[in-house]
Amino acid sequence: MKIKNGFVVRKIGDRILAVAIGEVSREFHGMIKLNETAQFMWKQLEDEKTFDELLSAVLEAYDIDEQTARKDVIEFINVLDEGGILERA
Amino acid sequence: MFLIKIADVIIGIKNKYEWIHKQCTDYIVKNGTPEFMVSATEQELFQEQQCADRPYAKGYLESICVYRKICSQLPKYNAFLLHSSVIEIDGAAYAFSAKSGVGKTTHTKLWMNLLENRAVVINGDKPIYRLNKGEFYAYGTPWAGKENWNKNANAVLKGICCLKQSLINEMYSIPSCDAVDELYSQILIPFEKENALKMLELLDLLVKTVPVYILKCNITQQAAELSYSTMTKEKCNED
Repeated sequence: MKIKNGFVVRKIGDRILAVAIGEVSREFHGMIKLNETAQFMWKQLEDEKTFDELLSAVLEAYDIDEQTARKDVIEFINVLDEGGILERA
Repeated sequence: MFLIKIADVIIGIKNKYEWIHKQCTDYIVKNGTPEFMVSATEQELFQEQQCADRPYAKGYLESICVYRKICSQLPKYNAFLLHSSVIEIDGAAYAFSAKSGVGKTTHTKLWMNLLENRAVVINGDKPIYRLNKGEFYAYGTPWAGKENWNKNANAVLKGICCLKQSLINEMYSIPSCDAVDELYSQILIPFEKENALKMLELLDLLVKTVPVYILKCNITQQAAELSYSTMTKEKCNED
């Protein structure tokens, strides 16, 4: 899975946002707020990743147990899926 | 075809209907080179009608379509639309932002009652803000909502108040992250990438340089007294 083309991530004030720009904004209106972990996962998903690859990346980058990481990854993917932001090969 | 100047930008409008021409009367300029031209096709008017809540005259549809196109270009000139009502008093501008129906118009009326002849509504609904030498200015435009309160004037923006309906009045300043959450839905992100990125940069500068507040308010005069005194008081040393 991978984030569709056309999103940009910007820090606006102290808020980190992912915003749809151009064609993709016809399907996805508005923005997604990213915290630090979400921003990391977003960055990872700009390139094609499997669930397990994403999970390993999170476990490597953050000092958290696998159960917590797994929960974070699932939650984040759900948010992206609700917005129709992910494409799957 | 005619030329208007809004936020100190000269724009050429190729209109098909007279409505927009009449609407723009106070903003028409006779001379000058337009920065860009705008027009709306019949197809675009049709699409505009499809998204509207009820049937509108073609002239009105042309006007809203043209304004959206103008606002999509403005970030290039460090300017942008923020859905808000903005009042000038003593040379400074104070904005009230909220989605339609929350009470921008009502709160604006309360300010006008409170301040009488000292205050002027620069624009009651769709003003332009423009960054000029590190400060944001509010500008009047002919697009100004149902009441059509507008004045071809500008003033330096000293505060933005995000309105919430409430039984009791309460006001506090908010950090830039919350300001972004409040204001993001009241700006227009242009379709074209370059302008969209510029718009995000401008929003970043806006929340970093202009104080943003939440105002939970009812419709009594006390609500206006609170927002007026909070936004106009001199900044105190906070330690």
